[in-house]
Amino acid sequence: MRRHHRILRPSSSAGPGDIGRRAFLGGTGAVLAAALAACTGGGQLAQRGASGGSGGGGALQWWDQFRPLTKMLQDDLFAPYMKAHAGVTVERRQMDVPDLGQALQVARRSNQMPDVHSLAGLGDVSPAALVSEGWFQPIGKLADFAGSPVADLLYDGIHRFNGEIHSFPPFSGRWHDAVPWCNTALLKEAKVDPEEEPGTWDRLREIARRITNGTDGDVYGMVVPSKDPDYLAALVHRLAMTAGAPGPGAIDWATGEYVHDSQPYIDAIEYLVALQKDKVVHPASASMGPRDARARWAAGQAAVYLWGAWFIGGLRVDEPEAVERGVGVWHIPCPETTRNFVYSPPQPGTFWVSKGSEHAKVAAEVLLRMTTREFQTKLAAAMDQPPALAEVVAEAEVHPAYRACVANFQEDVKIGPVPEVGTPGVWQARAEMRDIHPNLGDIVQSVLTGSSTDIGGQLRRYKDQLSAERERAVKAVREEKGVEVDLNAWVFANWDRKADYDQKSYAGR
Amino acid sequence: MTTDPSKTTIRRLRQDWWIYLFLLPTLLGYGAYTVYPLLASWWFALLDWPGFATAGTFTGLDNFARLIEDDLFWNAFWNSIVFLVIAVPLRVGAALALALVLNSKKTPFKGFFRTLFFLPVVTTGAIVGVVFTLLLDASGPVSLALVWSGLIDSPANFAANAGTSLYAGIAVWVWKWLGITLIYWLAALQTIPQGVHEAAMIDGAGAWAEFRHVTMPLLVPFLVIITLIDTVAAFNVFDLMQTLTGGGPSFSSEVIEIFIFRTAFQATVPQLGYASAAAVLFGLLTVLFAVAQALGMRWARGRMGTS
Amino acid sequence: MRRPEPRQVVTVVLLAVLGGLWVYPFVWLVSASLKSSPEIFGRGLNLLPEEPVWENYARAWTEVGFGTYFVNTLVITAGTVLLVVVRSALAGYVLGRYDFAGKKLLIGLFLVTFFLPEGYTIIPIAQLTDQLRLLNTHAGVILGLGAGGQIAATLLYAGYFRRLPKELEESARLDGAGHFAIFFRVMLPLAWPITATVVILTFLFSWNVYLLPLVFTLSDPDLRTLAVGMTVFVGERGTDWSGMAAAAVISLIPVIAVFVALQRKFVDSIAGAVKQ
Repeated sequence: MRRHHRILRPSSSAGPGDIGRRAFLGGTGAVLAAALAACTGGGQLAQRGASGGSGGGGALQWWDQFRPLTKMLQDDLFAPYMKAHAGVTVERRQMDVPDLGQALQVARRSNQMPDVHSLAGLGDVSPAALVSEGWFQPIGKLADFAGSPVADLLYDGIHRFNGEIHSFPPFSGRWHDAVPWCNTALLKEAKVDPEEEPGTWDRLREIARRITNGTDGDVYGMVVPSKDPDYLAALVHRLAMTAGAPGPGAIDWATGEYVHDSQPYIDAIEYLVALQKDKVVHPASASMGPRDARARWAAGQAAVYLWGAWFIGGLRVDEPEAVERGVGVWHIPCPETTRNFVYSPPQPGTFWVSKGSEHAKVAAEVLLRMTTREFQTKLAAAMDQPPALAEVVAEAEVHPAYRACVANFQEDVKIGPVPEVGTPGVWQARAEMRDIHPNLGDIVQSVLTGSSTDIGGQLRRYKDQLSAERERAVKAVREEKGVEVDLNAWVFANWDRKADYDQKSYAGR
Repeated sequence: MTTDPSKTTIRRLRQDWWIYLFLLPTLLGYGAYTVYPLLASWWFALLDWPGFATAGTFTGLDNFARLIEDDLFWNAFWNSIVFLVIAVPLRVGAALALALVLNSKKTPFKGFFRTLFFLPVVTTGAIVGVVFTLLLDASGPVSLALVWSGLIDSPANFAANAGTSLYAGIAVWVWKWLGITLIYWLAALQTIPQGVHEAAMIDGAGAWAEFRHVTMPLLVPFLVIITLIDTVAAFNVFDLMQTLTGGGPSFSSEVIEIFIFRTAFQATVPQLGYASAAAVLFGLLTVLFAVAQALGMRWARGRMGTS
Repeated sequence: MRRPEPRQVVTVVLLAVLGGLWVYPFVWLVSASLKSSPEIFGRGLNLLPEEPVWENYARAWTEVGFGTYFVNTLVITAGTVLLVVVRSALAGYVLGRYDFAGKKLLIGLFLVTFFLPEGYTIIPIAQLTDQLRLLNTHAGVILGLGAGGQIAATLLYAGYFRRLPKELEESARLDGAGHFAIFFRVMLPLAWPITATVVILTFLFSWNVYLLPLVFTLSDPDLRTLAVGMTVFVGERGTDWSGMAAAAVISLIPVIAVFVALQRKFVDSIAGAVKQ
């Protein structure tokens, strides 16, 4: 469930390695093969991968990784379109994330790309990089995306390249992945009113304590899965933002400097440590990944778990009884009663049309249908990531908690700046940057598992190394490839922390 | 072998054609699937090769220079060595002790116990990893049992604690593979003639003395072989460690295989050249290790022979 | 000089405790395979499910496609075993009984690569397999597993053949048999104890092997082996522990049955190997 959400996150956000470790269990070595496929070129693999291929007229090939949306896509998207257009067939293949990435790599090298596909499994690669290598064709002239309900959500450098629309966001960018989901049955057992929102960190801490003390021995107030550093990094980014950190990506937009060692980050990590010291966090948290934690939550072992909007959609598929038992949702708490915003980047495109596709027109038309209010309402009903037209959630058939969660996003989340949008050369510098370890997630993990206590020192070291690496990468691409980019690309002096950083803001920089 | 000049060599080659025909499958397979990959990975180690690029650019020994400065490489290196140094003797020693017991005529239910200890050997590593993640966490039976018995004060996540994760991995590895080593030892013990045992009895030697002076010297050659086999096995712990700890928390159980996998395939921009260099450097260091071990063994054997 | 009875009792008790430790995870696995998913975490040490959920097995069988995985594993295991036996016996025969130019070089090469762990060279191997157009085929996996490495098997055969008397060949040659006839009709049948050993060791290896079949069958799930299928199951359904446990139990049963049935032979044949 989780994987595709991570993939959907734009490349400019938080940390590297957006595919969770858990995902790799499924395909340990999958990316490995992808990487090697990239260097060997074609083969049997591809021929199998694209049996029926896109070249020979025939059906429109569509590859993606959204298992929970399988039925919905078929019934509400492909079937109606095929009915209206005789002679058109859409063949969809759903693959697991690592498999999809690998199949794409090989298909690409042997000229067997599907007509439409998502980018899952290709790692943290920027769509801009793929566009510049000729993966896709523009769809703006094939269907009227500029006049569609999502027109306002299209950005240069994310969806529009060289002035042409290449993709669109079917989901909303206004979301975060630290939503406190609570088990209302356990809350009642501990005599905590689920309606009584813990607006502050301290209140949440107190509620967690009351739940831990007011219930059975092996029920805890919270669960904070710590096996996956990516989860921890995302959580700390969000909490730090509620404490006033800028974002997304821990960058001070006034100067372009990284702020991983600033007070909000230290406070956020110390808050997690305090929860742990109170013994209100499930003691097995350290061995859990995010999905494990959801299962523990569903088993009634912890009452509050901070994760994304898709939590409840996944729960309904895998542990439906936990939904019936009672799910509640709160705003993300802030340290003080004055509320800060949480910042997310604009939602990137999910589906792209291959350069060589002979069904580009049909593909674009099918994709355009995803932007209709009708389809968006159906999308909402899957209770996955919020749909691009988030307002349809109010009338869609969804659980009240999901509706509340999406409504909270409208109040809590602002869209922040993305350097790639302002300066096209940024993606090349980012592709040049090597990973730094220990990164934010690693540091939080080491603190929570007791192998380190020096939060400030570690964060400072990470920030310094990251800054140095960015400088090196910028210099390297400028000098070796002649890319126009400098550190000013990370400066957005007109950023207003209380407003969305919209298209006009980029122009007014 | 002969001492003759080239003329006979040619004749011999002509005469021995069938020998090479017999060797052909092995030569082909070995060349293609063992020697070539080995040489290829050495070549990759000299390249700067981001995963998405079609080819690398030659950068000489740059990767090695970076590796030597990479703390996480050395962390993984030492973790692998610690794993080896603790796990192999533990596995070999425990299996020997068990084999001695199971080899004794007086022990009942031998076949049953042998089967028990062998069960984990045929179990998929990934399953073992996942099962033990649950067994070893703070609400799992191991922690509960230890708290209940008063051996530890508060619940512990053995596989997710920086201080214990590597050792948890070692314990699970020994658990999984003890059975096969046990069978090696049982086989070795079968080679000791019963007469030796009886002679010792007549001399009135105690069990320990008998083992120390009679059985052990006879077992030394087997000790060498079994240790070698298990040492090679200790370098193949990827699926187990990846599922059990994933190398964490904070790299505390990251063995070299996980380091290579992480740099080659989990990084934002995969670095195939760097990962190959890590494999090569580790390989070289291991060979040194193995040579040292072999020399040590030879020395020990020499001493045992003379004492 | 008979040992006293109490000592035997102590031995059995100690063995039972240790055996308990060894078998506990399996008991846990079986118990988990019969529980509902939330129940797995419940109440610590309780191994008895409230009510056995047999449906877990049905789910594991149908959703994971164990029938296919099983057949794949059998095909790959059988192919690898056959390849290793034939190739190692041929090579071992000439290495053990004849002198020829390049012999020392070959043996030296074998020893150098003895320590090469599987997996470090997976990239070039996969590259090669791709160029041979064998990715996503059983043959590709079998070649990958059996064509290289497996030096131990070759050395075992060499050691065994070396000790057979020369007269065997001489008398066969007098009867007019050629090199191949001698090998296949006389020598190979004689080496059956080694063949048994090699079969069993190779079986164990290819039954458990994970990384190579995973990489080689990535884009064709229908070619997965049991080990790969299990792992994929774990990765895709991280929260379906009861289904996973059921799947694990299913995958274990045949191997355990084989082991129990052939236990005696098994130990003897490994003994044969170690003796070399």
